[in-house]
Amino acid sequence: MADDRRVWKCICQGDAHAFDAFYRDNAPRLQEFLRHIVGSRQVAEDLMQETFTQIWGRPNGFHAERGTLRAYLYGIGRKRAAEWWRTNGAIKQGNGVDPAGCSTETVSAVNEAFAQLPEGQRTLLWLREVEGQSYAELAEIFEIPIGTVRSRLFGAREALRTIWQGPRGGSKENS
Amino acid sequence: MKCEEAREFASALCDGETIPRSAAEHIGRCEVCRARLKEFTEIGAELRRVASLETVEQVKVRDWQGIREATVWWRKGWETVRVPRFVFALLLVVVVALGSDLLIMRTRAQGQSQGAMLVLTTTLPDGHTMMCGLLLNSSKAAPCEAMEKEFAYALRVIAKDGNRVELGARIRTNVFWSAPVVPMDSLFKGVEEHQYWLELGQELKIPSSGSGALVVTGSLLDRNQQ
Repeated sequence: MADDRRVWKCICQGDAHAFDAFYRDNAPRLQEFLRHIVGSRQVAEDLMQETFTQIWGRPNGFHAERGTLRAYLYGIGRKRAAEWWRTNGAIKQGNGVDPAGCSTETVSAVNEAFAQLPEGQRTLLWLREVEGQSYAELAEIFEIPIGTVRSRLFGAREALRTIWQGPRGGSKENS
Repeated sequence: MKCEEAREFASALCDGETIPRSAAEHIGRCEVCRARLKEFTEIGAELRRVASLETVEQVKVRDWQGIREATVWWRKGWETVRVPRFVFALLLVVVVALGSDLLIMRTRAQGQSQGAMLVLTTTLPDGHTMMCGLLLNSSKAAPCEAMEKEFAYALRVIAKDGNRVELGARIRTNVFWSAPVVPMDSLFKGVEEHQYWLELGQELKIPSSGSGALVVTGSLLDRNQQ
């Protein structure tokens, strides 16, 4: 947290070296995350660049007491992806996520099922499972209470499980 | 606790979150909920496996210093602006408003133009030159009316035939100085209108009683062709 404060202070002061280090540390992962959300490598790269350019051009809105710098970064990236999805998602939907960048063996059934999830669920699940964001960070990124994070994660997992394992059939439940 | 309630906690449990004791007890003894927990865990593991197999691409090297200098010039201008900011903001509003007015006028003009406009240049007997425009295809178009000293005239388009235009002209001389306070319409009441053919690009001399002639030249301005 103290490190986040230091980095943020440098960014606010216009320290290009500090920002470049922050960019190099986080840009590849952010771009990968965005690619899984928007389904296009090129769009993901554009959104990633826009995210960093926004922070660098107008460094405001980060509060160390509310969350990590990484959560703040992903929060901006997520919003940009959601905006893009609102205007372009309808066109993309049906085509699924472009598996560009994945070799054949990596395109697993779960990946295909994941691509069928709604954008919001995909974002949440990826940030939790792959990026390892905590519930507190997710609450910060999505601007929702932690309890809502828990229920939405459950909803996303259920949806993915249904798509992924649908053909295998469900299991019996007791009460 | 029922399975429906416990499932959400199974999801939270696989994230390492603390869950209520009752939920933990249910999951512990319920085979279905344990299976669900296992599935959730497998889903997460599979997603991480897929992500780990994908090559993380290198990102472009950026010149952040240059980007900042390029993007914040306007902000520097704003911060160092010498006039008070509300004046600056007001100026912006005025510019936008004027721009909007121009746009509206242009739109209206285009909507009403229906083609050509006749631009008339008139030279009065005393040498004064004036210009005015007349819409050719609009019967309701206002005439060109003007008055200078004791000389007043009103011109309107009657017809167009090829390269010439028929004008209706009413001229009044010896206008009293008090005349400008009366409407132009009443100024020409009782004044007979005479018709003349104006060849475009050539001079037309319209005689008046005793005060010399009104010289008129005309050209066409086709706004639809602009």
